[in-house]
Amino acid sequence: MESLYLLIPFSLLLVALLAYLFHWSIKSGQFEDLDGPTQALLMDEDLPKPPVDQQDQHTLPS
Amino acid sequence: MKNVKAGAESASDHISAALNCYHCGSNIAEDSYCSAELGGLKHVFCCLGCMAIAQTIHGEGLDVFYSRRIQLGVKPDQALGSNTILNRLLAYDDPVLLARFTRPIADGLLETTLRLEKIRCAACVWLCDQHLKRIPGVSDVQINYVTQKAKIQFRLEQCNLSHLLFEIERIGYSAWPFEPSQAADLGRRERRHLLTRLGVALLGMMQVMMYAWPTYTGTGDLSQEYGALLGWASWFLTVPVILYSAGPIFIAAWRSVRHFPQTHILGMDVPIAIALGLAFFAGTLNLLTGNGASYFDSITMFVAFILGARYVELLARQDAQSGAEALAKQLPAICEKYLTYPDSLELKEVPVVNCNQGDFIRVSPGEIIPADGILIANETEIDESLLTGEARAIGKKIGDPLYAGSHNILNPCIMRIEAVGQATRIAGIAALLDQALLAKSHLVSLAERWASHFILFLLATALIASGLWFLFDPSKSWSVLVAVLVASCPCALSLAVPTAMAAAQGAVTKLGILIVRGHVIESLVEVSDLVVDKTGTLTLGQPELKSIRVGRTDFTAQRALSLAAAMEAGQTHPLALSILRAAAVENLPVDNLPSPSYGTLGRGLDAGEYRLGSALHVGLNQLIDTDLFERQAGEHGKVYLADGQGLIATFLFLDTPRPGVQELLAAAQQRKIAVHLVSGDDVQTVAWWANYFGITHFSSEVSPEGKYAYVAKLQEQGKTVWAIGDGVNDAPLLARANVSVAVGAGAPLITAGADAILTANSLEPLVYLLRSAIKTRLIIKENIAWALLYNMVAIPVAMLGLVNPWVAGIGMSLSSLFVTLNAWRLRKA
Repeated sequence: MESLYLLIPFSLLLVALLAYLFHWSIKSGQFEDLDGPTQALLMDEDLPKPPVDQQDQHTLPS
Repeated sequence: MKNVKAGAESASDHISAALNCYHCGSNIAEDSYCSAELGGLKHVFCCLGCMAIAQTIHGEGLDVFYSRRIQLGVKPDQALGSNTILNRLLAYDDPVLLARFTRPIADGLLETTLRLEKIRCAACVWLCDQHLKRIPGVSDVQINYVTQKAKIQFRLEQCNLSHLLFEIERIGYSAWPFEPSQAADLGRRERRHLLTRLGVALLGMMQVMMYAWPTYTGTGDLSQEYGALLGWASWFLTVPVILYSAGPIFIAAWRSVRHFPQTHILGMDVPIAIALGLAFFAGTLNLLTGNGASYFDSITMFVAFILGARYVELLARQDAQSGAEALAKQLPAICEKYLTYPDSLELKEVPVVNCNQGDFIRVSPGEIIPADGILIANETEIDESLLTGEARAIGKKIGDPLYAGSHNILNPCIMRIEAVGQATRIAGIAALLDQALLAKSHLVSLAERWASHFILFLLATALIASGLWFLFDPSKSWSVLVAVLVASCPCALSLAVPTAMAAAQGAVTKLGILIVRGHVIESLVEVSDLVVDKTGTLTLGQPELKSIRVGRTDFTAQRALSLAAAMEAGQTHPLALSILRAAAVENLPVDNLPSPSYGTLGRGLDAGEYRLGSALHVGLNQLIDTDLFERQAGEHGKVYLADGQGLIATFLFLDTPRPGVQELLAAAQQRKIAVHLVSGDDVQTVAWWANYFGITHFSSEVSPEGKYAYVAKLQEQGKTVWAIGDGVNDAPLLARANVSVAVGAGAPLITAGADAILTANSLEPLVYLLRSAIKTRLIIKENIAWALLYNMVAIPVAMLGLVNPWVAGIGMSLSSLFVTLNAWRLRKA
């Protein structure tokens, strides 16, 4: 039970840290747009080939 | 009467060819396409504009957009093919407009907010973001996916506003600068503050409950020493929740008490503040003396719940805007001004704010008229539906007045400005709207009415009980006082309404109804009269081809339609679009025209011997055919097709009823709500539609002011009025009504006056809204009944000294929880 003397102050520090992080994330505008970043993550960087059926529709036989 | 070649945009998607444009997906006729090779693949395009966009996108290596997008693009302006910045955009570099739409942030660095349009999916946002970031001089781009606003920082020496707008158009979107408003800034700060307060309360709640766990489970081996340790840890977490998170509640409560002599109403914050303050004080005292419960878990949970409900309410409320702000969006920022009319026809794009009375300007078809004025040259047709509710386009002759905010749909015309800005008619309507909003009485909610009495009763009871105990057993006097105040839970009472409202709002939002002002759900139950607008509300305000009457034996209806569609290809007039849609639905082959069709100014189209358009245009005034000429009540218009031998066919158009009208009317009837149809349209048409829908009370040719008066008269008779409308002409009506719903989020001005906005196309969600309102009312009553019942049991018991403060604390938490969970049932509408 003596461990409580260590764990409880520790949990208080943890809460303080979380509150600070939360405050920081609000201040930097992370809660303004909850949909955009989730989509942007999927959009960036990888380049898949266009699907085959679409190619047929939009492309002339050259 | 109609059908003139206008604009480059086309809806010619009816042509049944095998080829589709790579960018916009529209069908391409065999002989008229352009093609380009992009990354080794040959793609075809319907026009140079589409090709230019695809080339730009490919040139930056952003091809992945085409496989990512969910919806096809919109056909762009032909002018994009030429790759030069249009004059229309260059006007934004005028110092007046530049100062209005940008703000300096560092040396040489400007920031602007652009509102993006034609954004359809996440891929579009991504494409804009990537493209803008590649422009030299742009240092930062942030696009908000939800509001579709882009915040851009750029250096003026390398880049300017017109360049940014052009670059967005170059990839197939459009944008207009957004004036930064102080209200929006304040709103954002308020939102962030409340969210931080809520976050702190939630963190506090979770952690304090963790410390309280040994007390809940009653593991008896917790010694005094560890109990104090957990107690003090809880205390440390509760202090910020009380001081920071609940701070505004205490301030509001104090304000309410201070103004009590004038208002005679104690706000809901007063009982909340007293309960919180007392519970915290008692908890701290118990902690110091080392016996009794601490209540900290109840305090933090209660604060977190109430802030959560308030946050939901705040988000909804902030979607509303003031009338004046909305007005700015309704009108264009620039116009084409004649420098020395009538000596020369030299045009210059200038900001509207720089125009004065007496200036001459040109308004092209498809554009919004920027100021009130008088038509000087070129007769045209104007769509004034936004201002008057009249669905049909109105023919304007030389000398007729033109109003800012209406839409020129036919010919390029020249007008003389009579009034700009605040002096215009539309600004007058906006002012009326703001006035109506101010006059709207504050509805005292059910719970507030109860709470005011309840809190006085409670304080008196607690003091009397404590006083009596003091006479008999002074040692128990204090603990009875605390027990009575804590056990009698004003929290359940104060949570009863906001939680139910938040839950109901969440449910109807999913159906496409955005509740802007919280009283909607409470007031809907009391509605006795429903006032609806016709055009755009009960009907879509969009002509639909209803029948084709063929006057000759050598033509079938199908042939006539395909002939008309071929002639109308590329036209933007509403009736032309309707013919094209009808032809596309029937999948008709394209008729070959003897020669390409061309428009006669404002009357109709000619193609070889074929003529399509108004009776006058096809030369029908010599023919006498009463059947064909008879004006059908409720019709939207007629178009005639003729050749050298006379009339071939008559196309009859009707307005389309909006889906879900019958369901709404049935629901209204069931609730014994009287329905009134009030429209700006003419008598015949309104009577026809009233009969069609089975509405007995109707009124026609009513001006916006008249609609306002109509509602005011009903209200004087003691009726509670629910209004549904869509146009700017309905704005005062909506603002005046007790409950109002704006249909469609199209016009910003209209949504400013409404209590709720229907974003769905059908009216059916309103039936659910009504049903949900009735259910919410029931749940609120249940919650209040529960809170009162609980208190009726708890208070006497606490007064007798049978409840120790520890049990009272648990009771307080449980009753709050019960109320919240009961409200949660509303989430399934």
